[in-house]
Amino acid sequence: MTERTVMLPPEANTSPKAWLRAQVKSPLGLVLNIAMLALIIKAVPPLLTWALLDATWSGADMNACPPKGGACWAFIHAKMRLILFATYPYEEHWRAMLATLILVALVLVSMNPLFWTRKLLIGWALGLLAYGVLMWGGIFGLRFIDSSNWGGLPLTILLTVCGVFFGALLSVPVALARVSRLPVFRTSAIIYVEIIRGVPLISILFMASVAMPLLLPEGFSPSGLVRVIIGIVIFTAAYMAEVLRGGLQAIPKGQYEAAAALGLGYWNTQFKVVLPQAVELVLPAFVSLIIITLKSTSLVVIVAMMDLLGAAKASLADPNWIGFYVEAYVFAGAIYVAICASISRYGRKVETRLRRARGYG
Amino acid sequence: MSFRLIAASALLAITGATASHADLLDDIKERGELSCGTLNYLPGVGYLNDKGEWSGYDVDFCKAAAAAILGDASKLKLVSLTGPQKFPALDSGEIDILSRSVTQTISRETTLGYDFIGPNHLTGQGFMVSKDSGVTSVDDLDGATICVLGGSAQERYLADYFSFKGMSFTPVAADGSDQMYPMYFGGRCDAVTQEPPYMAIRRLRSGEAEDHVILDDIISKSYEAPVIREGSPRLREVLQWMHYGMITAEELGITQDNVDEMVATATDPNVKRFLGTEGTVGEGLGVSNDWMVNVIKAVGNFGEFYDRNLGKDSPLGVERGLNALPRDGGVLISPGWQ
Repeated sequence: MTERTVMLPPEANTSPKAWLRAQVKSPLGLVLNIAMLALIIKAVPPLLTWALLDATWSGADMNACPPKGGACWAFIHAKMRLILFATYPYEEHWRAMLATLILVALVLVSMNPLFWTRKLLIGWALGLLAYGVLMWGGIFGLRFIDSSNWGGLPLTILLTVCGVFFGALLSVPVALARVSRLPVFRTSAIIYVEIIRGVPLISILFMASVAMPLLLPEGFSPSGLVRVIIGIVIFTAAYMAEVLRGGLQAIPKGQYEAAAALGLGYWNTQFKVVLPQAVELVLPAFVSLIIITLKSTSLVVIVAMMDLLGAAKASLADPNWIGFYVEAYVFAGAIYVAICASISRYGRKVETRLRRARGYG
Repeated sequence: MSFRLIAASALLAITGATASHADLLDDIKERGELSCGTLNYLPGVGYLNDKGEWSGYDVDFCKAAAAAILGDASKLKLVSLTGPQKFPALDSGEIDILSRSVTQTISRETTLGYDFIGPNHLTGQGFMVSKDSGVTSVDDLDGATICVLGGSAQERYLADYFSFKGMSFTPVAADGSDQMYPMYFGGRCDAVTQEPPYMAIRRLRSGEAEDHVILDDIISKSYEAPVIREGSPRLREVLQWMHYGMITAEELGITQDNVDEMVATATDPNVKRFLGTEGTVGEGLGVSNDWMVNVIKAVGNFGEFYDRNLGKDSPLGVERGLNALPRDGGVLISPGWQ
């Protein structure tokens, strides 16, 4: 009996020397690596000097920050709450913060199909009630705050959540109509989707905020917030419907036939068999749409709503602090990056958990 | 009843139901809140302070109007508007007053159908150049590259002025001051054009203040004024006389600090009539007799109003120039209060 040798893969060599050798193995890799290194050496030290070494951390007004000096974080220190909450009354910021946390928690739970039960519906009902009470007030001794004063990060999150939530609701009938065999439904869904996808969001927002009040009778117009949310929902729903259609078409014909064999009608087939599977299939694409919607909400600046970016822009107009636009945009940008990264990370985690729970991965 | 008659009466019911009063002044008093359109990006004119509260010249006009009509400057809803939004918001009735540095022109008054109050801010367009360029007047700028705010009235005036003088120039349109000044100080343009005070503060913040000079020439006058829709003569009267009242208060030496004392001690019949302790000036306008006291308590007289937001008590430190009483070299006048 001959001895059988088992060939094991070579142990991965993780010593720094081996790592370095791998980086310079091919001439192209060598050149690229040196170029990148040069770029980093050129770019990082000045950036650090600006952001940390030469930075001004505290001060009462712009005179604390020398012209042509480093970053003026004193500006962010003074304007942080303005950028985060905009015109929401200063003493009531805790209310907006608490309400937004409730909303975020609800969204996080709802992104996971494993939690889609009746309890979640009750959770949403209670959560939205608490949200409304906290944001508007007017009862329980809370001061009334008109929705025109909402702003900053809470507004960004509200617009995103409303856009995604109502957009998703609206997208279901549109997607079903889009794959329907009845020409009336199919044609109207195609017209809706193609028109909205052919128009930039910015023009829909303009229509919603500038043209809508002129078309409605004088003195009767929904608040600017509602008008903008309607615009965002109409826009998001068109894209979601198309994503959902992709999911519907991926469901094998056998599923429909099995449902028909069980005697399920159209609605039961769709809601009990097809849609649950389709939604799980398109979850990654939905997460992308949520991130896109979050970033698109910054366009409401052009209709003078103060979302996070709008508030950052508004913070630049204080005569006591002239010209710190780089700091303001870096701060707002960092918040966007943090939120988007968290959403996509959470989305991936939900996917893995879902795959494991369903037993296919 | 014919179909046409039904349709007509239905239409009447709809339109009749919305136009409740002849004059917006009564609507505002009934509503108990004044709705004012303004802006949130112009230092000293309309901006938010650290606490997110509205401040600035155009915002203070709204506060004064609320104090005049409703007796309380806090009964005010401020709406921030972008350039394209401002007139539709006024037309649709979303706002009562537009106080957003709108330049008063005859076409806006006649063809568009607006009433202008004031004007309450007289300003103009100047130029800043680098000292090394040797430019001493606008007429030296033939062939220059000039940074200007895109879509602004200044862009139009600039083109008009240069074509009238038969000079050429290359405009570089910027989207906002925060883009324009880095372009100018970065050398993209030979000159930059805006109202002189804004150029002065940017020059101060550039770190190279001594290398740049603001020319004395002013190429266009820009008289800015709050706006209301035509068709509310009584609201127009209240606001116009409020503007005159702030000027009169400065003439009479009535300030935010001494107004209560003046009410108590004034003996001059002119002052008494003005402050409403005698006569019925306010009632005649459809507001309370002590309306000017409320206005002065809210924003002060014209001098205080100007200096706090744009002038010597603000970081901008703009000279009052034309925005002063004739005795101080300005052109602000008020008709008599008899």
